[in-house]
Amino acid sequence: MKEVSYYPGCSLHGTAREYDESCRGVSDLLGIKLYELEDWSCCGASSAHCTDEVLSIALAARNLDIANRHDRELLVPCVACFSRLKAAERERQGQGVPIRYALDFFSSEPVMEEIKKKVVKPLSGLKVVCYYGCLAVRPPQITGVKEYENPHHMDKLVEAIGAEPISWSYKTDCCGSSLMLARTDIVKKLSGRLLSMAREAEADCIVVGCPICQANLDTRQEELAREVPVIYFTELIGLALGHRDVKRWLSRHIVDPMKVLSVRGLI
Amino acid sequence: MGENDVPIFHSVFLDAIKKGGRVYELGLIFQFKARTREFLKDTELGWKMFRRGKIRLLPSSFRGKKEIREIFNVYEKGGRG
Repeated sequence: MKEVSYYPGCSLHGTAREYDESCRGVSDLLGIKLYELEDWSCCGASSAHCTDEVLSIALAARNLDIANRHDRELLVPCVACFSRLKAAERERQGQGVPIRYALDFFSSEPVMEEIKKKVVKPLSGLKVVCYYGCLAVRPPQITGVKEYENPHHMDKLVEAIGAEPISWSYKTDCCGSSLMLARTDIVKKLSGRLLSMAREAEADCIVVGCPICQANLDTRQEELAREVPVIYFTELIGLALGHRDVKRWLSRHIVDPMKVLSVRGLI
Repeated sequence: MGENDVPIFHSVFLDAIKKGGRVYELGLIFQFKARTREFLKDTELGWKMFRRGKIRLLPSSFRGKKEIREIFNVYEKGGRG
């Protein structure tokens, strides 16, 4: 059994709990044992990053110190946390355990092969647009993603579980991110455009790997004529792998994903 | 709502880390509303999130508060770690 350290971050202990639950659930089915980092603290997020460089590095680095007590990779589902932890790692010239963003981890060749082997319900007929957002791919010197303008790793992952990724031009446009509380007007505008474009691409749903992007897209649809569910990639893997708790994860969304999954005969 | 709400948000967010080590979302929202005086904004959305089990009623336990305070002490004194 593969063992990795796990840094959930603040969102996954709250509004993004279905991302946490599905990460844990899918890992369990894949024989990956997650060890939640003992006494982890907030990475500082955009607020520390915007305020003071030294503070932002110190807050993130505290978690790296804890991770480095163990000889295990560090798995990070929240891309904002991932970005801050990688910035702290860079400051230390890369010393310490490897830090893996959950999307990169689950779409890596060995893990994806394992996922393919364990698919019990291919997501046939499900048309999706993959939304990477900003920090999953940029800045490339932090993420290591070569195709940062037009990434494909999430597309390949959803394809591996039987869904149909639709090509669209908004994969890495910003959703408004940390302005979610302070400038909902900007978030509505940016996320609204992504939602309209997903509709125009005739996607059944948007697939994401970031709790902030998910919240911005899922909670700002009241003015749309037709809603678009916003689903974590780990929830889709869980669905394809037949995890028993998928319905519970999906029931936490503001825009109900059950309808579209039921139309496609997947739930 | 305006430009000023952005630095207020960051300040409330950092206060939350300083006090609890982690950001407790419900506390963060209350603090932000108290500072911006926008108590009624997004209440319907908040209720929907609560009903779906997305809002934690209590902060998660954290034992490293002393270390976090030290990190903030360095920052507030303008030190460089």
